[in-house]
Amino acid sequence: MSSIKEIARRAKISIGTVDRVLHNRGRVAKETEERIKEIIKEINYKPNIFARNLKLRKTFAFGVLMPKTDQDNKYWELPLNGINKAQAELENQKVKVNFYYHDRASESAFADMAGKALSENPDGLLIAPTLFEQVEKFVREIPPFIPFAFFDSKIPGTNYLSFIGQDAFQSGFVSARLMKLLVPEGGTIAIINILPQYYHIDERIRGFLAFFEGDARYDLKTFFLDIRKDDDESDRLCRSIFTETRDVRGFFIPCGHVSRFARYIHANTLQGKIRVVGYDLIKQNREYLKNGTIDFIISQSPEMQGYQGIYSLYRYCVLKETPQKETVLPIDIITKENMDYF
Amino acid sequence: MPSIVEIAKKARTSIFTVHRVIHKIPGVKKATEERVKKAIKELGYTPNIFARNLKRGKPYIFGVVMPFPWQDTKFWESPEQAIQKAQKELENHKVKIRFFFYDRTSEDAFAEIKSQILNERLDGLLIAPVLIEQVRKLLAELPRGLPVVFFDSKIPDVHYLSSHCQDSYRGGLLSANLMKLLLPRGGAIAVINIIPRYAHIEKRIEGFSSFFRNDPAYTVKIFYLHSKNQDVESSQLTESILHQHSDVKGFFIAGGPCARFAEYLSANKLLDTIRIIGYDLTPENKLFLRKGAFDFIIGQSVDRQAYEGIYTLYKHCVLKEPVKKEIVVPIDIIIRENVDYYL
Repeated sequence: MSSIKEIARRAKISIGTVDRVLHNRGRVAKETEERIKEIIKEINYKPNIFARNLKLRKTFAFGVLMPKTDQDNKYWELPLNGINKAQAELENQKVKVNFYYHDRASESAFADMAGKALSENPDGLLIAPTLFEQVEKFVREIPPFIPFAFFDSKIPGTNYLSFIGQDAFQSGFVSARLMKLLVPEGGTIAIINILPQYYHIDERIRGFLAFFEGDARYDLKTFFLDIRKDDDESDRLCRSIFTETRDVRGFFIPCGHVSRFARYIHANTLQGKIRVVGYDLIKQNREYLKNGTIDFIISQSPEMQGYQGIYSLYRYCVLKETPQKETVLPIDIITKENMDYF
Repeated sequence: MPSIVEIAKKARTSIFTVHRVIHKIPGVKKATEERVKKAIKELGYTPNIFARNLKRGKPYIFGVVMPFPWQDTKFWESPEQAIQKAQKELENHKVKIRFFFYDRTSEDAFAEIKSQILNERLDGLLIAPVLIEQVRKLLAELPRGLPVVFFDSKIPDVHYLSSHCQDSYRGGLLSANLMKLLLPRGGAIAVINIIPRYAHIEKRIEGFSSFFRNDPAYTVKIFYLHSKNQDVESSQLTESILHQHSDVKGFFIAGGPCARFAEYLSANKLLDTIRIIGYDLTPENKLFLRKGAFDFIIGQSVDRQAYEGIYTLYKHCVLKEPVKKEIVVPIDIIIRENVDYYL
C-alpha cells in the first residue's frame, strides 16, 4: 500500500499539502492539487481505514425501522437475526444499532416510530418498507446527509443508498412452476392473499398468475386472510374454501402464514392430496415441511437481507466506500431434504 | 465500550498493569491479574481493532490453493471469481491474496506448486484439496500454527481452522426426491458416475440410490464415464444406454460434464420423454438449463464456500475473532426460473 509520504515525495511537496488535498481542506494551488490527484490515481493510493477510524473516535448509530417481530407469524425474527449478527461483528468497529419497531397494520404507528428514529440523529437508516405510501412520504423527509437502505422490498424512485431483497414477481413465477410439477394433471389452485395488503405479496401473486396465464387446465382462485382477526380465521377460511370450491388440488400461500393452512390440511389428513407451496422458513413452517404437509418453501435469505443491510450502511458511513445499489438475493427452493442448511 | 483507564480504575491498579494482563506480558501478581480479568469481564472490554491493526505495517497474505479455473468444465471459475470479489472488498483492510493453481489431474506437477507455497511468507491458506495425498504432504511441511481453511472438500484427520463444504449424501437424497416428482409413475433411471472416482460424486450417488432402494416402481442403473475424452465418450455412453435400456425415463448426472448428456438428449429430441437432473452451475450447465434441457440443477455454491473461506481467514487473522470450524453450505435447487439469481 502506498503512503502519503510516497505521494509527497513524487509530487515534490510537503505531507501537509497532500493531507489537505486528501481531506478537501485548506488552500492548495489548483495545479498542485491536480498533480497530487494524478499521482494518487497512478500509484493506486488507498487511505488507511484503521488509522482514519482510530482518529475519529466516533460511534456510528444506525436505526432500523421494521415491523414488530411477533407479526406475520414471527417472520421478522429472521431478518432480525441477520441484523443482530452484523451488529455483533461490528461492535468492535464502533457501530451501534437502534431498533424502532412498528405495528405493520398501523400507519400512524409507523409515522410515530419513524419520527422517533429521525429525532435521535442516526448516521444511517435501514428500513423494511411494508407500508408503501407512509414510507415513501417519510423517506422524502430524511435529510440528504442521512443515508437509508431498504430491505425486504423497495420503493422505486426514492434516493435510497441500497436495496437488499428479492424479485417478488419472479419468485411467484418460480412457485408456479413448482406447483405445476406437483399438480401435473391440472385443477383448482387456491391462492391466499392477506389483509391488509402488502404490495410485495401482491407482486408474488402476479408472478404466479402470469405463469399459468392461458393454461385452461388450471383454475386459480384468490382468497383473503385478514391477519387482524384471531388465529381461527385461517381455519374458517379453509372450511369455506373447501365447501365452496370443488377440485382444490393446491394451495399457494405467498406470505409467512403457511403453517396455519398446513395445520388445517394436516388435521384433516389431506396432506399429499392437497399440494402446498409457501414462503419463508419460519419455525412453524419448518415443522410442516418436515412432516410432508408443505411440499416447497420459497425463501429469500431473510437473514442475509438484514445482515447485508447493516453492512451496506457500515461500508458507506464508516469505510467511505460505495456499496452495491441493488442486491437481489437468490430465490431459494427448499424441501425437507435441504431445509437444515438454510 | 470501556477504555483501559476504566478497567484500571475498577481493578484498582495502573493502566500499565492492565496492559500487561491484556497482552500476556509476565510480571503481574496472580491476585491483581484476577482482579483485572474480572473487571474486563464485567465492563465488557473488547480490544480496539483499529488501533491494533494500525501498528501492523505489512499486509496479511492469504494463499489460495485450488485447481486451474478452467478445469472440470470450468467448475473452478466461479470460486476464483468469488475470491477476487472478497479480495477487492478486503483490499483496504490489509489483506492480499496469492493464487497457487494446480493441475488437478497431475500428482507430479503439485510438487512444484508445493515448493512455491513453502517459499512464500503467508498468514493463512485456503485450500480445495482435490489431490488429497499431495495436499496432505503440503500440510505436513507448513509452519506450525499456520491457519488452514478448506473449501469444496476437506481432509478430516488433519489439523485445520475451518472447513466450508457440502453434504453430498443429502444432495443425492434431494435429487432423488425431485426425480420422483418428475417421474410420478416410476421407471428406470440412469445414474452417471465418473472415472476416476471422486468422493463427492460417489456420496451423491449413494444418497440417490438409497432413496429408491425400497421402491419397486423405480430401478436405478449406474453407468460409468471415463474422463479421458469426456466429450466424445459421454455421447457414446448416452447412445448405448438408450439403446440397451429403452425403458430409461430419467438421467441423474452426479457431476462432471453434465451438459454433454443434456446436449445429446436435446439434440435427439428426447426431452419430452426423458427427465434430467444435473449437478453444479457451470457456465455450460446454465446454458442448457436456460434452454430447458435440464429439469433441475443441484448447486452447492462452491463460490460461496470460497468467498466465505477468505472471510474466515480474515476474521481469524485480522479481527482475531473466533470462527466456526465446520460450515456446511446449503444445497441449492435451481430451475430455469431462478437460475439468474445464482452466480
